[in-house]
Amino acid sequence: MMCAVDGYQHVSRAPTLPGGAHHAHADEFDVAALYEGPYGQARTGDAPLDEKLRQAYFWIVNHAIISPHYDIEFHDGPSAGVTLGDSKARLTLPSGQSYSSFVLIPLLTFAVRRRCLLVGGPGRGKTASAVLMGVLAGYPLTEIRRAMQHGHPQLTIADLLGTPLPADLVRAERLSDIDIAWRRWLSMRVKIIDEYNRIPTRTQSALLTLMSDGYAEVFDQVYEAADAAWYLTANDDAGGGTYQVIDALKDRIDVVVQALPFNSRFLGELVTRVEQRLRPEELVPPEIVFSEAEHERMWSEILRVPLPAAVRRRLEFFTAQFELLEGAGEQFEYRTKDTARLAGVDPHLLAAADTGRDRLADLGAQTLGGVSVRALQSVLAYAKALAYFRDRAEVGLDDLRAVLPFVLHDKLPADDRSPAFDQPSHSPYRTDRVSWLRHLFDRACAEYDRLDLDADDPVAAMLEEFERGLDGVGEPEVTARLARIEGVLNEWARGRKLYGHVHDDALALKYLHQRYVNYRAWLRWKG
Amino acid sequence: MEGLTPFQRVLEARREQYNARFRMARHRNRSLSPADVLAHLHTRVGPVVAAAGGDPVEVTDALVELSFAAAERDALSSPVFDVLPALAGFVGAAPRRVPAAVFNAALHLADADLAGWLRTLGTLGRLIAPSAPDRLLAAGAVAAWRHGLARLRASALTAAAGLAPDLRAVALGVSSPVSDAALAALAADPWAEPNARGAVAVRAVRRVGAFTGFGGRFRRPPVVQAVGGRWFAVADQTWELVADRFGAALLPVPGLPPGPPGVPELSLRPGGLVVDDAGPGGALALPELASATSVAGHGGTLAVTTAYSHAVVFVARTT
Repeated sequence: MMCAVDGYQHVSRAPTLPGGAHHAHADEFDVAALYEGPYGQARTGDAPLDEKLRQAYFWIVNHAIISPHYDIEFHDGPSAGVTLGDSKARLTLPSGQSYSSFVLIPLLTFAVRRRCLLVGGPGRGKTASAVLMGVLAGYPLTEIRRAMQHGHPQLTIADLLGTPLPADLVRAERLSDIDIAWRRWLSMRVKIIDEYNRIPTRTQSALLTLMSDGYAEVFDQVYEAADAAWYLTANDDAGGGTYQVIDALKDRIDVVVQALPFNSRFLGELVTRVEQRLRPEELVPPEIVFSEAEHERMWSEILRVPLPAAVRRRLEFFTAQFELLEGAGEQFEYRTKDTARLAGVDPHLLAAADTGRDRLADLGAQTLGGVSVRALQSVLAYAKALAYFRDRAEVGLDDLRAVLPFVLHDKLPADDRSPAFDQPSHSPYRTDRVSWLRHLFDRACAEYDRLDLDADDPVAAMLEEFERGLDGVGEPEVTARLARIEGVLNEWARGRKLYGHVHDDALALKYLHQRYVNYRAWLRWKG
Repeated sequence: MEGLTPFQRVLEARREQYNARFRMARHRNRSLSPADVLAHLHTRVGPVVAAAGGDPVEVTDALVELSFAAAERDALSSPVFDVLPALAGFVGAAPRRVPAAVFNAALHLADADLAGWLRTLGTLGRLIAPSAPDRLLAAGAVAAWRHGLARLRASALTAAAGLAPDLRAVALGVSSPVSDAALAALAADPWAEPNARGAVAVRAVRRVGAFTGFGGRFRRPPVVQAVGGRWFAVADQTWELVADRFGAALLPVPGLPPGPPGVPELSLRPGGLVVDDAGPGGALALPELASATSVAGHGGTLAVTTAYSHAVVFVARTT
């Protein structure tokens, strides 16, 4: 970490990530180099926004948030490491550029304009981090502070969204005659809700509409809010607030990140700040502020980062592990944890009755639910954003692995009573959700490799064959394909245990089978 | 706030932010005096903001930030601030870019003719429309080359190709427009004078390097080599030697790169006689080169070192 005397106005020089996909080495002293230096960058044209995003990251970690943690680790070749203490705590020294989740995840949220929950004890910098994101969006500090919503038990919908104009209330004959004085924060690109778990339940519902659907409604008047990055803070996300947060609102949060404790070795930096009355949020250099157009362009660029099929397959395989609950239904499609939950039955009780599978090996046995479509969308957005931030040409497995725990933190509920957590090496996973989720993903990838699905995946081959279209495919070929589908299913039926991914694959084959049956019926009708 | 200038209004409105920035600058530079900063803002920044046009908030923000950055480096009295009034229109058009660019370039020119470059930049500022900061910076780069930054040669020649002949003339310090042909001649001969019309001859064109005791880089007399069309001086360590008509620089390098040796068209004969083997330049007698310790050549240039000097002497066939 750089100390204060190194200059709050210093922005890391480009390239912040040498060897990235979009940057060439440039040692030559040329006109651009002539005009660059400590007084600021004077490059012509727009700087690449991924570079600007990295500069923002490094400015924040060097000058604003004292978070000398590199818990999002990347490896560029073998990494050194040591094991410390009786508990054999492993400390890895990553060989690649690694990052602090408490800074990176909110920054990626800023880039993809989604919703981030910052949790952690008081005074850990949650609100300061959110305020910095507002400054990065170009808002004056006073406006950000004015726009920040503070959760408290008396917070009403009118406080949150807007109030009807008193004169209209008196004169109006219809609801549509009442104009609403909408709150300024609704139009901002960065929205901050401090201590959201202190908001009364009814007001939470109004917030839910705004967060999920992007509009607010008061007195029949509707306000379409701008796309925004949301930052919500909570001292305790496990129900320790004044009000229980409604599940639907929790579900709208894309990512959860924990403020890690202060490292006492960095007290000197705090002393300097106190002595000099330095407030980093007042000193954000203009070079790392994103205009509205840049913000929009960055999001478009992130969306264009491709997700290779090989990486997508790993995510599919991982996701497939969790929904199956054999005892929850009779029909194949309904044998899911969702069926049990909708019926008000604890999935754990039904899972415990399952005797066919090894409950230690079955990853699905460690959760009480599956991965929702919304969660998957969040995973994809953040994985693309991280690949973009890391200047990668496409999303890598390491990008996916890095963001997945933060997205699924509150979305993939752990079954703490699962025997998997009783193993001594796994008991920390009951409290360390990030490591647990990363462990689950690593296990899923190992299983994927063991099954050699990159090389031998009959379901993928059949889906690809179907995707090529049915033009010119005659009945004999359709019949052959149907026979192949049935053949694969029959082979699975001979002794293969029903794991989550097998359940998903079987349903995919049923889908294919149905499409071919319909097509064959059409061919016969056509004559 | 009636009667205040736009600059003063911005200072008033952003007082808290600028005060915070001042505290930080003072943290970095304990000797920074509030009175000096105030005087600087009043006498050197205010007039530029007034003349710049554009958005006074953006211009003030940019110049105040630049002032604090300079103050932290004890550079409040930098002559760069003196040229900003002549570039005020550009400051208004690109407040974050142009002043920072000039300050950064000034750092690179610290060991060259900075004062001359600033004068030329001021002249260029009066000839170029303020709406074209790119052109100003391109012409400024050509001028920086001419005022001693030999390392900029290739890039400056490219920049010059995009300028009008009269702007090239100002940037290169000659009185008549520099045509494309004259520019091509400059590109072909690193020692040529712009718009030169004199006869070709062998001339001593530059001496580069000196003893460390006299402020140079060499602790002992170097030897010189030409590799792949580049020059290298080897003494206690290896240096790349970049030199042309306008200047020279010594850049430390880890060692000699691979590449073919130079193919000289000049040769050093006994007694220090440098002869143009191709003919047109004739010969030049330089007795100091009689005791040469190394000779390297490439094209129409010969580099020679002797046991009695820490300098590399360049002799060339040029106009």
